[in-house]
Amino acid sequence: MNGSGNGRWALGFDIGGTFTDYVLLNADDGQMHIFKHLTTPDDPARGAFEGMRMFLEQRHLGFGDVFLTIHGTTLVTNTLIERRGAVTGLLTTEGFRDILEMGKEQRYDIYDLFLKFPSPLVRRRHRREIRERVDRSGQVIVPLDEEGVLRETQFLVDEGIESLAITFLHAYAFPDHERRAAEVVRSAFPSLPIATSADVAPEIREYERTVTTAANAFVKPQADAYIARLARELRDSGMVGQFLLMQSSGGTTLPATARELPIRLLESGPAAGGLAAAYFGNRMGWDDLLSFDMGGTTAKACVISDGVPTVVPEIEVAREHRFTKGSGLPVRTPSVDLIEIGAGGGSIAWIDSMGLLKVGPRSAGADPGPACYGRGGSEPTVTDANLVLGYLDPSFFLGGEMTLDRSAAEAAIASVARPLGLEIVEAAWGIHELVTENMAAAARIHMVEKGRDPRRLSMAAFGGAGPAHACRIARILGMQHVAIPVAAGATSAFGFLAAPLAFDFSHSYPTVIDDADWGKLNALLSDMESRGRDLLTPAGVDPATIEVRRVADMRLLGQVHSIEVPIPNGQLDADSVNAIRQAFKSTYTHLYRHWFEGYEMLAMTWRVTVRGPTPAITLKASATDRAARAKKGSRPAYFAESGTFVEAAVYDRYALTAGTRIEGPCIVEERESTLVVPPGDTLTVDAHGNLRIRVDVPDAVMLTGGAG
Amino acid sequence: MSTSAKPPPPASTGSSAMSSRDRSDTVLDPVSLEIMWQRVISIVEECWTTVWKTSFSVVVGEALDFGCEALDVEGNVLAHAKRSMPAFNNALPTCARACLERYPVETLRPGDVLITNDPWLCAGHLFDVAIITPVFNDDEQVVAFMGSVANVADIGGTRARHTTREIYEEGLFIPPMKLYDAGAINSDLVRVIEHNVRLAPMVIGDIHAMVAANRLGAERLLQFMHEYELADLRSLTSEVQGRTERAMREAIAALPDGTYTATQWCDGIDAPFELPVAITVHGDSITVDFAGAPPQLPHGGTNVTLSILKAETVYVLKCLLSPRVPSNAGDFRPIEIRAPEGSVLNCTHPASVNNRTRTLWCVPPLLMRALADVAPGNVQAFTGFPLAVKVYGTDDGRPFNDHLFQAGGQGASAHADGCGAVLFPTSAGNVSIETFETRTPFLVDTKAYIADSGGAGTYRGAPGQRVTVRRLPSATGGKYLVGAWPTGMRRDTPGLLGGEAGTRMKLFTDDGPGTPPTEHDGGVFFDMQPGQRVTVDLPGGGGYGPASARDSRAVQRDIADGFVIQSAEHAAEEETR
Repeated sequence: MNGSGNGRWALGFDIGGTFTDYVLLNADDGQMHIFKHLTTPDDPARGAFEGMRMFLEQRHLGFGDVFLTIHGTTLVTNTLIERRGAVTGLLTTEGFRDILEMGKEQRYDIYDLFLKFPSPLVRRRHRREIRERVDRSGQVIVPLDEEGVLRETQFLVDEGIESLAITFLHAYAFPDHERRAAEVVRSAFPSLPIATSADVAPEIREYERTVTTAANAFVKPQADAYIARLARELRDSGMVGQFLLMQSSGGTTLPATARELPIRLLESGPAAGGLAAAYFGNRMGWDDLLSFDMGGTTAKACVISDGVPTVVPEIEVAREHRFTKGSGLPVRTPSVDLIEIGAGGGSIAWIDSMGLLKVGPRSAGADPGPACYGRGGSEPTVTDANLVLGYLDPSFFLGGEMTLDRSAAEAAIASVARPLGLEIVEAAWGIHELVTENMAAAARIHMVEKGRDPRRLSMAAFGGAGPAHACRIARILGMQHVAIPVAAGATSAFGFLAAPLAFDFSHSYPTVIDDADWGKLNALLSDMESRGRDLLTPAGVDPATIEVRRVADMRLLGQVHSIEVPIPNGQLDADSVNAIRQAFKSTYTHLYRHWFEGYEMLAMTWRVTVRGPTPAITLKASATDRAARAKKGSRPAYFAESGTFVEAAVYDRYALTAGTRIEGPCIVEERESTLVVPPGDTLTVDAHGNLRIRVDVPDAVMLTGGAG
Repeated sequence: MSTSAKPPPPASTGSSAMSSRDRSDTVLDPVSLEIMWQRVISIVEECWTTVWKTSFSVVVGEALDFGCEALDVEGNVLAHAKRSMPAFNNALPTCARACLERYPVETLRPGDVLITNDPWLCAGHLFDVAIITPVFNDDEQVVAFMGSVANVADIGGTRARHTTREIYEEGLFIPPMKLYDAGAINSDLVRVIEHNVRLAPMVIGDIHAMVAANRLGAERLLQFMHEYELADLRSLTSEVQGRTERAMREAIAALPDGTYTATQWCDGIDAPFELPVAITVHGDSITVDFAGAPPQLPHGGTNVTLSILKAETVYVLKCLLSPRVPSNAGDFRPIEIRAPEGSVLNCTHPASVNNRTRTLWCVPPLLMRALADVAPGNVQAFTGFPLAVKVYGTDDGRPFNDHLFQAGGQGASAHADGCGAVLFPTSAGNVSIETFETRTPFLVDTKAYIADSGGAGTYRGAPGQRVTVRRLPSATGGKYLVGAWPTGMRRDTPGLLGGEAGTRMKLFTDDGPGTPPTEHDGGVFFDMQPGQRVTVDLPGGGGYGPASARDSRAVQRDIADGFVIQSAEHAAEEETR
């Protein structure tokens, strides 16, 4: 089939644990279609292509109609978590081979004597030391021992390593020794994949840089083969358009860059969720919002400021305790700043040693799933509670594909209700309230760490369980506006299409601002910028539309942590000092509301993002011809405000028309999720089909001018 | 800067509305209690993050030598931040109560901020500065306190810490005072601090980080009380403390009644000494008696105050008995701690205390040894002592003052090998080499595990590490003072329940590669010359259980990875190179 000739289509696809999500978007008229296909875990690309063919057929399109395909994958994350990567070797400065294993030497839980850390990505036997040393200002203290490089690499190759990382001290600023060592290895072992720290993460702090370089080497052979294969199969299928990959920074990249720096693909799915939220926020006139995505196992939240998800330079992966900071591997790669919370529809309720009700982080997952799935689960979950409370329709789960067993849910909840002396409904409400409170607390800390007052933000909620909890969370946090966007069922895949093509560079050059060597600084900034332009232009980006963003990690001299400060574009010189000082002061006071005079300012790492234009997506306004049967009926649902079950009207989301206004309590169902609007809140439907809720925030939480 | 803990009143909920709907005395159900408890914990977490992110010294911002908590009206712990320095958490209540003796609660006013670094009231040496901020409700009654303690980078006094004979030589002593009085900063006190400490901006900066954190915590706590219509925190406090206490009592009751004794050597100053303990379990309470501890030492700063001894003791018992329950004042109630007055564990003013950890850090392994037979699954073999190499001086006209922290090897347990270099019993972290080198004119030549240093056992102790520091060759014309006062130098790190010992702490200096090293049996403090090096071999962790029972695959892996070098294997490995 060769296209229906109705315009140019962009395709986003996101391979998740259970489903592969697809979004097709017509670049000309804004039509959008969503599709889901079961993931094939043994070979995810196979299922992804099957689904792609089915979806295109369903829409009467051919591969030839698709001018752009953007893919996000959990391959890199899973390879790290499951330790399925290449056998990796490390060459490092003599005296420092154990940096990778020592980490920060800090206990992340002060009471747990038996805590564990992730084992190092390269075992000690495969970490080899090279005689060489450069100091903080680039002075060579010990010249590079090239023979040693050959000898140690030969040892590693004989040991069977499949990939090599090279990390030398101070190479973030002085990469000559690393570069030369890589050349020496390449000439002797031309097929051995190599990652140097100066290429992967040129940033000060040897532990984080070594972890990142080792992680890149560890995932590189598999990622390389996977991306090459996808590109080949797309081409063989007749796709002539561009193929891009989503990065955790919120930008897309070319296959060649992704194959060289696969570590940048780490959290592409959640990053795209943030982008989608930013896109819908923008359409609703919100520049600052919280993106909230609650699924079966976890919830993820991220802050969007001035229409852009916050990006941080580091992300922690493969944690021993998934929700405990410090228990994982710190990877220095630009990432949309997400907080992951151990709270999802499958989260299990339990009673702790003190007789208190707890929810999560253990989850029943998809298998066996909540008790009400009737697949052998017997422990009470959030979904069971939501069913008992009347929020879910037992016969309209996944649009009716699945029937939920209410009596199984009640029996499961009784197992925690009885020991607490609670009625089943009280316990169910307790579970709902607790998981909501947990998410609100985690999101609050996250926002405050970003220097944001939750009460000044709105919320975009999605994910299977998000809409059932969104209004309550907003109420706790003092947020007055919540929206459930269209495309809530395939948000990440949609977010791919909203992402600009972008390349991130960083370079450590620690200097007190007043003492900066401007020539050197200009050279390193413009080198990063031109590397980005050299990638964007051949990819078809009009040079006039290229945007360059520069930031520096800065601190007051003597301080230990940095904040990211915007740096003006163009040539810098002594006259730029004032502008940089002002930018630092304004960022700092925004974060900490606190200022000291009399300190010099130190810049540590300089970052440059070179990006193409953000795709202009115009979604077609939702159809308004199916208005008649929006109200499906009503059912009893429990609301704490009433202290009992009340009859709540139930609506079909797909039949709601723009301008509709409904007072809570009410329930709105769509295939992938159910929105619960508590009493006091008001739902309206906007022109684009987004559901928007005005939340009845209690006075005590309400924003009062000066606070925050 | 105003430090009033009172945020503006909410738009429409005045105090009268609040008291009419006051739920303070309501009996809390398990769901509400859990929600409120977690909220208070999340508030102190925010305080912790604020100190971390705005600190000015490596010791606070990187090594994380600080703590934050919320205290009830009587000064008892309500909740502390998760990574708060353990000993600080438990010392703050003593400190808060002492402050309240000086400034009775009814005399406090919104905007007051209290400060002290009295080692007998707080954390045992002058470097630990406590900031305590009262939290007022709408009726201007104190409902709680926010407290923070941080180890500031300098407090004046001598840098030769091992030479002191009296507290007077150790720096500025700040008794409980007001740092802010009704919102106005006590600028006299600030000037005194500025004129008594080195790198004053760093020290004042860290104090401000704590003031800001407490203020933020107070605002959040009040907002939380408004939301839940609480006029005070009495019921919440009594519920959470009661539940924590019950959990601790149940854990104690699970131990067989009896008295369990142990001794533990300490390096001391001129000669090693032994610390004894007798732990008596009677029903659901415990008495820890350090009777027989030697008299306080006349010099060297290794004396421990009762306040910090109690804090450390409760911390260790918490780890052993009730580690998964959030900690608060409830953990203290079943535990009685005694140490003879005038002893090295309960020294009297004006004893020197600035190297107190040399003695204090012997207490955790002492307690674990005493309880090893009755709770073998809960204890851990001796973890090698940590050490901070301290550098101070000027280079190229700029002053520097930093700590290079590193850990000994963790002791093994009934569950696993020691998991690597891990700082214990402090919860500090290490310092990045590149960060250290960028901030100071020094070069680290080595930071690596030492083969054959972890104690053998069914589970082996983690290896110790060697760290070598020298002056940067290009650094000249300044002052390059290096100080290190290690402990654990006189004996190997003992194993537990049949496990073998890990290596002891060693300290060397030399004049460069190829020159003969001098091993020191105490601390060093000197102006480092070009070419000179200081090398620390941090101790390996103790093994657990007999080595004969070790899994042979684990042995092979240790050999392959070079943690254990057997001579034959060593030769074979050399041959392959």
